[in-house]
Amino acid sequence: MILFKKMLRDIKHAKAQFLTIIIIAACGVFTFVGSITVGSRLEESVHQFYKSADINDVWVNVEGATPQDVDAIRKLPGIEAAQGRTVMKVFSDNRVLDLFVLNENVLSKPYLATGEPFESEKEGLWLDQEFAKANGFRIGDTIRIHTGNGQSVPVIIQGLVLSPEKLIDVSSETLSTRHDLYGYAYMGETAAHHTFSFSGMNQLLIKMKSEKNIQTQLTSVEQVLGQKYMNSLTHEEHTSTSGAANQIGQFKTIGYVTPMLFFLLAILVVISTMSRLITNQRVQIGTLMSLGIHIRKIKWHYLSYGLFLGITGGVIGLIAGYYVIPAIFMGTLHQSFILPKWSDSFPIETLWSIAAVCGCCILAVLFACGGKLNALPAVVLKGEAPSRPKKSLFESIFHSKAKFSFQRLWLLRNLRSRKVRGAMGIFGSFGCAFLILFGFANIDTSNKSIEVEFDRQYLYQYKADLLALNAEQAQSMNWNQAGIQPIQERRVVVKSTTAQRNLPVTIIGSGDYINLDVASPDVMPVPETGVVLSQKMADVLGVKAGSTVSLRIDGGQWKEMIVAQTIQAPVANRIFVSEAAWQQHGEIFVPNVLLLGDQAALQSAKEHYPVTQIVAKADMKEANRTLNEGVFASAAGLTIAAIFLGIAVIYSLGPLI
Amino acid sequence: MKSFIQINNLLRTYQVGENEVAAVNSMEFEIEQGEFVVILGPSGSGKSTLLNLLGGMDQATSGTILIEGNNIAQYSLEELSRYRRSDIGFVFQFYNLIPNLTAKENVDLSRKLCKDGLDSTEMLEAVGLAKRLHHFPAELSGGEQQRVSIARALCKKPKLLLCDEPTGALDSNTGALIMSVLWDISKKYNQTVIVVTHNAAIADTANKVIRLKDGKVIDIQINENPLPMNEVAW
Repeated sequence: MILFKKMLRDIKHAKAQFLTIIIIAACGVFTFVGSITVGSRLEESVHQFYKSADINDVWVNVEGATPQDVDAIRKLPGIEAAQGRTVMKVFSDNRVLDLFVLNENVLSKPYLATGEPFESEKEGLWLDQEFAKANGFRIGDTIRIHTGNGQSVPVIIQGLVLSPEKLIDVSSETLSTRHDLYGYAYMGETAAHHTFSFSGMNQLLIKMKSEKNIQTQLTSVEQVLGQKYMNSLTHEEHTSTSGAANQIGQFKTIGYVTPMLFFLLAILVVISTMSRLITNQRVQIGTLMSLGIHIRKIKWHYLSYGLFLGITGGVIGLIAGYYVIPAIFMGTLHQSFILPKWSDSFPIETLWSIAAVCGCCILAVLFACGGKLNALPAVVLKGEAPSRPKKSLFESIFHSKAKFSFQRLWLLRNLRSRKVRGAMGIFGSFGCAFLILFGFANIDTSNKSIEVEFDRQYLYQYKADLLALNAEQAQSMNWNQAGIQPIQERRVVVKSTTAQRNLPVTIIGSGDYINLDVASPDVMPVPETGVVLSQKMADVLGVKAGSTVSLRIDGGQWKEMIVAQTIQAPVANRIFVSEAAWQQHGEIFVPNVLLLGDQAALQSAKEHYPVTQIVAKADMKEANRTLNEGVFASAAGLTIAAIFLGIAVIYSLGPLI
Repeated sequence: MKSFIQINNLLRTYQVGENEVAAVNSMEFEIEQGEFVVILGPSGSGKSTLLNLLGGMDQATSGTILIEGNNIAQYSLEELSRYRRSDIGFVFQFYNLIPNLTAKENVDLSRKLCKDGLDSTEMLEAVGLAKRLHHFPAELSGGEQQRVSIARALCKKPKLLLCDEPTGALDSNTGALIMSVLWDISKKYNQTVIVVTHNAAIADTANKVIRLKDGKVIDIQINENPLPMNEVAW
């Protein structure tokens, strides 16, 4: 107890150094706990939704499958459940709905937010809650539905639901997340028969008994379905499930990587502070030994400094991280992910961060103590003889050529005799300078990216979203209008021999509003064959120009495409394909966006195409700037933290004092 | 009957650069229970090294140090630690109090190391510091700090009180006062006290005076009738 009092008073006397350690330890735990809490809450919320909805493992697109086919699949070994359904695109004025027609509701069951429970025999439909909210639809309202074959019928809204398959974006065929334009709905098969004429089921939901060997099971499914089988999607390929998994992974990665820096700094500062403390308390240590206090007890006394600092910093970081970071990020996540319930769980692994930071501090103290506590009391009291000064290597090499001032010689020799502290000082300063540069570079890069993207890559003035068209409609339209460039934006799965990514692809029609060579003022057209990848994405996939990558659209067959070119692009995770290259691989170019050069083109687009929404490039640029304010804020925070840490490290290490 | 302390052929050498220096060389003497012993000698004569060896703070190169018949020269580090805890009280020249502990806490730190130690408050009262119990060392004068140091050493009820230049950092009046305290304790508790000093003035107060030079005992003087400390001219 008396030694505990001594520790508290020692800490009070060297409060600047110890406070620095506590803050650094707290920062490490803060970032870990915050990121892990956000990631875990998202994971838990998604998991709970998947579990309650009994989400399927695989989506199999089929043509004219029958209930007998579904029964046959159910009987396959390794299959836990299977369900057939019809997925069709319907319209309500200029709005697009993915309509799921079900004759049973056993897999990927929609979550009923409000209204009547779903029954396949019941009339009416169960509408996407976000779509209803954005458009002001309520239960009991009647919504007019148009089908692709020209039917138009009124349908009553029975309930508002959330789909476990639609956590992220509303439409898998566009990159838009606009709930006022894109949504989904569920309808019972009986009601659908009364309302529309449609033929058979076109999608099977399958749940496996085990997540292992999904591909093997799929081969069996394909054999059962024969010609009816078209393609399939797993969770890794499905936009919503893979997007959720990626986001969870990102938070966890941040959670595990960022604190390392702080823990490393904490170790450096603890080593330095405790080395100095132990050196300064040499006589006290010798006295404690002379009193007969056991060496283990003395060691424990000094280890308790590390433990106290670790626990104090850890607990502060834990509490702050648990409350502050989720408060910042959960709001954004609530916007990005449509989930019925959000978990407010406390991930137990966050406690490990306290153990980790305590471990770092204790190890640092042990390192600082070294053999100083293992000597006889007389030796400890007498102290170490000062090391014999020697010329530094730098001095030996350059002394004949350069004349060093007294201060420089002093500095060099001190550095030589205090190698560890000197190295830690240099390393700490380097790390802090790196962080400061990283912060500024981040701000600069963000600004530059927006400038390059909107001033050099995209040369249009307006961007118009189109109503979803089917292949026939798209092919029947004339896309060659002056000042208008059609493009198609969608997601694809891209795979190389080493990596796989779910990416947005831009299929570029004729026109010159997209410049792939941002370094050149002349527009570089997209090559007629192959795909264009950003250099960064090429690095991620481990490919280069001339390599082959495989693309998979909507779970279809993998198609091999040559990497025609790699470019320096402001947005790394995007690939470009020309209309011609797209069609060479048997795909149909169905534009869903128009790039417009001027006001006249804008008027022309309104007259000739089913335009749903127009955005000026200047507004998009401004919106991106606003979005980037978060990056600026975090970069500024990083810079301030780095400056603070730099001061703390230099002050605490006092390399040459 | 064996003496309380018996030193035989004691050697302690140090490596200084490439040379081996004997700080204590072939020493032999005996000290009886309850004696007030003064070790005199110039700087570098081996006084402090001898005291460290007697107090289990250092290990002999060779020879024997018998304390109540136990040869502490052969003790392991663990045994030496136990020996210092139970048998030894140390008073240092520069007091060596723990700066962040009060006078009472400094004494308590020592007292709690043994089962039947003396009450710290009583000990501090006995050395005249009843009103300074809760003061930190920096708030005490040199003499007061040394009295705390004595109280800290004595509260363990050590068999042997070792004092290394206890008046070396004090003015003569305070030094005399401290020596009086030590002398009184020795007589009052029949406490064996060994004082290392180069102040020859106190030699007359000791039961035994051991003179050292160059690591060797050059003279052992036994005073049949030592003077009380207050009769010594400082």
